[in-house]
Amino acid sequence: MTADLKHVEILLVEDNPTDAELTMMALRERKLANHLVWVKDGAQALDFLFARAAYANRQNEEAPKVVLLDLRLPKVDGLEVLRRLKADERTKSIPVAVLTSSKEDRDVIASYDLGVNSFVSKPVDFDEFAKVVSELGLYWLLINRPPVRKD
Amino acid sequence: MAGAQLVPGNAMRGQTMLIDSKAPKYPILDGIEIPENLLQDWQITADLLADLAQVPAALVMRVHAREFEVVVASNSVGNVYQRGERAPLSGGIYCENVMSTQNKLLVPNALKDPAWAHNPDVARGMISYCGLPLNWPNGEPFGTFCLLDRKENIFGGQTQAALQRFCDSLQLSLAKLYETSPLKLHLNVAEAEVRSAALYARSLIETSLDPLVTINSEGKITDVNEATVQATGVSRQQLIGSDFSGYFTEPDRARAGYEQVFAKGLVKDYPLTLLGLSGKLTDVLYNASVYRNDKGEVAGVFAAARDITERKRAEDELARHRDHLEELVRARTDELETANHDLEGFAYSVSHDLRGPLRAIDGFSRQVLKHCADQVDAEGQRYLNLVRDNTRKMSQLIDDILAFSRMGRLGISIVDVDMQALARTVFAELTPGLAGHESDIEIGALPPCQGDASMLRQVWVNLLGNALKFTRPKALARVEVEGRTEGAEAIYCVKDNGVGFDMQYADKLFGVFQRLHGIEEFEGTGIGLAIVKRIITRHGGRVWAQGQVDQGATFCFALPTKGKTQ
Repeated sequence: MTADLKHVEILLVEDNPTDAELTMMALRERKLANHLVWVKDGAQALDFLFARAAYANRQNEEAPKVVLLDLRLPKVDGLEVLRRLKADERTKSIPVAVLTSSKEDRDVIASYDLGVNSFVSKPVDFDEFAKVVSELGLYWLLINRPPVRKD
Repeated sequence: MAGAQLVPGNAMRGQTMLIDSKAPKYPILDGIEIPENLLQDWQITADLLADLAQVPAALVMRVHAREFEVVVASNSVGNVYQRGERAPLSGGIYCENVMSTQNKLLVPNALKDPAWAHNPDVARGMISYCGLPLNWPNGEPFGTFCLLDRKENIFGGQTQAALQRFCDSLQLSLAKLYETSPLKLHLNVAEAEVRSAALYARSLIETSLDPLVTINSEGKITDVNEATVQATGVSRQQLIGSDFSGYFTEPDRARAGYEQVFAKGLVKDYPLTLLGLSGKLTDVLYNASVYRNDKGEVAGVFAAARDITERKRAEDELARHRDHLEELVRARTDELETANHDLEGFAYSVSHDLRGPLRAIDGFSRQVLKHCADQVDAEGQRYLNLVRDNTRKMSQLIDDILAFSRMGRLGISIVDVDMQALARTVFAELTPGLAGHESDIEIGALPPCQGDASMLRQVWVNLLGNALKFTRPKALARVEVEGRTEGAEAIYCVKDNGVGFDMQYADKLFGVFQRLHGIEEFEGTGIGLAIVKRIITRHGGRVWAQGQVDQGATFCFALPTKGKTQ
């Protein structure tokens, strides 16, 4: 998406281009999409976050302020991405918000069991969807205070 | 009279268990008195014989339970014996030998015969003896008739012949006595009774379909019935005296069985398999106990086998059917689980995949309206708004389908439910702004029930929600909730004065997406009552409705009071 990998604020993990565009459309309306990187599957998401493969040169960069994670993803699914992030010391403090079409209880429970920071069902109505996504972006980018590590 | 000496028939005679050591050594008719006139007659005979043989003693001896009695002693010179005198049995006297052998005994000189040198009669000077047995006509011993001498004597010439003749004549008089004895008559009746009782018992044993045997302490068979012969295919003669354990597939278990009887007194339903001569197997259950002799000593084991081949076959068949049934149930359960799993996967896909495209349709329609409004005329904008309206409706339909499907998939957890409290809570939640209008609503006393609380909550949400929705056009809405217990059911009804419905469509009310009113009149997808029906049906209950156009409707459901869910 964007070439600037130094100051990534949002990592959007979404395989459906239309959904990705709708999400970015909603964020853009609130000027929250400037530092967003979009990856299309779980494997890419892990490469980005652990700074390896195509993203190996991110070694010393800051972690994103939030990961917007879909659950149904090719290669490595969303719950597995979540599990690996939360199991690793380097990445476990990165906020992850699951953003999915699912309203199934089992997905909510599984996500929270793995330590998700937020679970949001995408409303079908775009007005509502835009509202939810922009509020989510606002919260994690502007309101939430992430931990500062000095190591 | 002790029963032991009256055992009838040869079959039972000689069974050692029936001989009592305290009982008389010989079977005797002790009860028959010898009349005095007969004794005098015998006296004359004895005197005559002693005189003829020129011996000091001619005696008639009678055997009793424990001793001999001298009933007649000849009045001859030098006779050491006296009438009424008694000698114990097993004392070794000459007469006892005659008794036990039932043969004539001739001892010419006891002093020359080591077998007789020390007998009690020698001590009294009687060194020679000749005696014959005397018996009752039924063969039972009376005693002896004998001659004794104090010198060596071969009782030659006509002496022995005379002794025999006199003996015969004594026996004749005994026979006459026996025939006329009232005791004898009584004995005959008793004997006949015992005989017929034994015969009766024997025929019971023989006609028994269960193989019966008696076993002695060595494990040998001592008696069998016909059923045993049939079951083993071995003849009675061969069976008796052979090893009991040899007729079973597991001889050790059979042996352990009768040993257990000897040790504990009995066994019940001891399973064994009889192995017939032809190889035929018979499954049996043994019930056996010890039997005792007159003294209460264990004499052997009486064992009865119950043929359970047929029962076992039936049990096996039953078990086979049961296994088959279990298999069927297992297979059907697997199928159901698979179907349920598929359904769950389908529902998951629907919830996840159908919403995405809808959101895109809605989202991009909105983008056109917002960012390209100058390029779309008013009619085009109206069309785009219709597109958006319909995506919302479709989204609602998807949600309802999922809700309906969830009610069929979710497990039910049965708890006690206070239906009255639940209905009140739901009603309060549905009418947050209507606190002042409670007079229109009446929730009566509702019986509690057992069910899944969250599902039953959904039932109240849907039924009360409908009542509120369809009474909206009325100036004064009335909703009554009633409950009662009838038989094994708790019944609940929601009655309203709303728009009602035509009873000819009553069967459609509870169907999925069935609507009786236009969408412009009343919102909704038509899933609410279908969900109600599914929940109540899963609780083992039933639903029904009554109504009339513009006259209101009553929706009822009944739940079994003893939880029965599907």
